[in-house]
Amino acid sequence: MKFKKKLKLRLGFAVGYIVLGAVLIVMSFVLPDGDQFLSSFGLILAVMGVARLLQYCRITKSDETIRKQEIAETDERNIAIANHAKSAAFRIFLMLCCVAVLVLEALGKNEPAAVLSMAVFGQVLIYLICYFVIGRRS
Amino acid sequence: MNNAIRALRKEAGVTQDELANAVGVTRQTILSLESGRYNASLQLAFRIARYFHRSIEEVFLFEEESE
Repeated sequence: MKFKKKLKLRLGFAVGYIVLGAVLIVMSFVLPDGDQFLSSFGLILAVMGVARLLQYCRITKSDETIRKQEIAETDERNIAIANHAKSAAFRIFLMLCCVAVLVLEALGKNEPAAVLSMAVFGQVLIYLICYFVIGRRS
Repeated sequence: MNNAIRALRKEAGVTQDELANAVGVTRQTILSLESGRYNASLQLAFRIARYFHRSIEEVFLFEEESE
């Protein structure tokens, strides 16, 4: 029953993305200084919403497909793989950002380097806070 | 960790898919468990042992890793 509620929430989000996307597209035409960014962003949101709606329709075809999807999403091995992947992605991205900061500094682009190094600091800070909070809860 | 899942499954005449559905995991997880590439959580270990009407120790064989 819980998973079916989760699916309904996803349906709500899908419809929300489509509506928001449509609004942004209309705004880009209606507003006097509406630009291409609004319409592109609106289109992306609308396409995402449609994709999620189609996914919802595919999943809710039958109780069997709902159960299969629920198992796929709650399977402990799948969750462990996803967590490992997120952890590796975080580490790799952090290293790439550090390399990018050094390269930007070497090229004399101090402002982008400063912004990127603040982003790196922010990532590490958020990680430490999450580690602390999750550690206290467990 | 070694386990007797494959042997018990064949004895019971059950496919990987049927076992996976019964204990609420994917077939790939059962495959990984049987090949020893993945270790089940305690909850999953209990569910599998209960499915075969055995104790956990009869299904999962814990061996200390030698350094």
